[in-house]
Amino acid sequence: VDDAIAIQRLKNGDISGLKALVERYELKALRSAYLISQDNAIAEDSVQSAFLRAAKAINHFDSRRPFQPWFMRIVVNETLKRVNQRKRFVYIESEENDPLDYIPDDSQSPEAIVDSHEAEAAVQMALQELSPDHRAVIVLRYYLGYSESEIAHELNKPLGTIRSRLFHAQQRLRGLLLPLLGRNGESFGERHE
Amino acid sequence: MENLLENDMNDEQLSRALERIAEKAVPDGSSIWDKLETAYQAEAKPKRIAIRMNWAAVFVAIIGISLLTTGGALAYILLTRFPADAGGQNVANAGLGIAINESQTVNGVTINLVQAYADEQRILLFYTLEGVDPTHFNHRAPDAALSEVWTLDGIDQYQSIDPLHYQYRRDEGRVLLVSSIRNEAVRGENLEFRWQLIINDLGEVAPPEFHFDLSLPVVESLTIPVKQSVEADGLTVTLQSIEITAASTIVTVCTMLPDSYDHADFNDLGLLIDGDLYGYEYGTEQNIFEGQHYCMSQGFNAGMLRGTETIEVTVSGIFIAPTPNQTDIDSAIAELEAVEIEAEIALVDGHIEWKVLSNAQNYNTEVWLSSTLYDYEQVEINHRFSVNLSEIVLANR
Repeated sequence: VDDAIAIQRLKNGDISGLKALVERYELKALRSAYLISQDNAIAEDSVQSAFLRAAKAINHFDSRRPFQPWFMRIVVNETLKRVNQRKRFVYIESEENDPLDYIPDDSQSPEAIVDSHEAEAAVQMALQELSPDHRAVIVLRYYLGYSESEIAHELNKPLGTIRSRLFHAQQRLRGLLLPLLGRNGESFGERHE
Repeated sequence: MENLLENDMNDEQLSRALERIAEKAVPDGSSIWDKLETAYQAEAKPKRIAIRMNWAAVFVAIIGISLLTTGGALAYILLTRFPADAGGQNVANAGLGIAINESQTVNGVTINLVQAYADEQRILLFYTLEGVDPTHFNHRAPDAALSEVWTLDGIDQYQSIDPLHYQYRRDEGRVLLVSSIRNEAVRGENLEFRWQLIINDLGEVAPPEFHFDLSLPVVESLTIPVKQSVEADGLTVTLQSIEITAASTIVTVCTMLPDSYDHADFNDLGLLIDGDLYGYEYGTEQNIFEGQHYCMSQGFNAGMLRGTETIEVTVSGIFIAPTPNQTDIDSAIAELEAVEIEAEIALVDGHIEWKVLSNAQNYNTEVWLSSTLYDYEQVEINHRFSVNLSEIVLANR
């Protein structure tokens, strides 16, 4: 079932339309919500709420547009709403960063495995120190792969605000990553010719 | 893809790290369907709503209803707080609106347009709705459920209404909303316009529509020529002027771009009135380029009443971009085509000129064009301009 058929079914009140959309987008949505919230319970709650909101608003959705950006915008907003309601940082249990949990990808060289594991652990720790808003732009840019203008459009914010937020998020992430990676790099987030 | 961490970690490594973190936290096979199905079916069923009494709210409601029966619908405005719209709050508190008190009923929904106000920057309408609950509306939906059309100077401007922007009072199903639009094109003593409200909660084929033809006196803006400057990274940034009314403030900040730079974008301008910080509303900024001279005028829905002492403007930074070459232009045209925007872009006398021919997805073309064409560099400014109104306003009167 492609998106257009699923959406039409949902518009007709057929729950199989919602099920098809959930099957297609729930993993991406849950993972994005987790990266922003750093909390599985908030992620699950946010995604569930996002699907319910989308189902409610589906009659106002223009079927000629792609579903994913519209839906992911709802996911990001629902997640930020919940994280901000908590007004506190959420820390991940230490075993999340346990090297023994890491399952290497056979296609990678030993050096790459060490590097990727090191990077993953560093990014995981650095993410927890970022504000939810900064995590959201990092997730939109580097996990979901949206351009700055797509983020501005999806979050309904001026491009300058998104650039500024992304720039500061990158700077902050760099400041957090460098000591964790034990290196002295150059400017993180600098724009290059 | 540009490097984010130079030799330490590039964008692709960061993306891969995020993917692995997310996959570990939410493994393949994770599903919320069972819970979601239950919640969806529960929402679909008619339900009884349990109401927990809030005695403070009941007290306020009783006062409100008493005032309504004795003092008319204006009581709604006097009792309502608009925390997200300080300008609207000024107009309500100071009683600057013109009484309209005109009602219309369509398909069981009644609107009462209570007050209207216009100045050289904004128009505000205060109205009540009965028979509909605005909390159901989703202003982010592509076809917004609660939308309005302002016809000014013969041009229709569509807006969706975000009820969450305004805190409204609710008793017996009646809510108060304030709608506003920026009114930059209008200069004159009187303003005639049409306002339509369209309510489309459940995708009805013929949703309730209301329209009002209004004529309002226009309150003038007070323009304060400030001309304070600060140097940052070789750029001189000048707070050119502040235009202020009770409902709104427009701040104009300018700079002279270096040669061979064609585009710029101030970011995160902030406004403080007597120390209270106000953000700006989406879509209220205007960029003006004249050769190398660049200005941004930013509107804020916060204004000044008698007694205001200081206005401060914070400028955190500016993005500047070199003039694109033909390769950049060709690449931008290809990127725009990928999102179904057809545009003509040309280099004229060292500056880019563009024209949008079609925009199938209704994207914000200004955002897309500037982000695909230009390679921005960030200049940090982090400066706070301060204007003592008691001196300047008096000097200009």
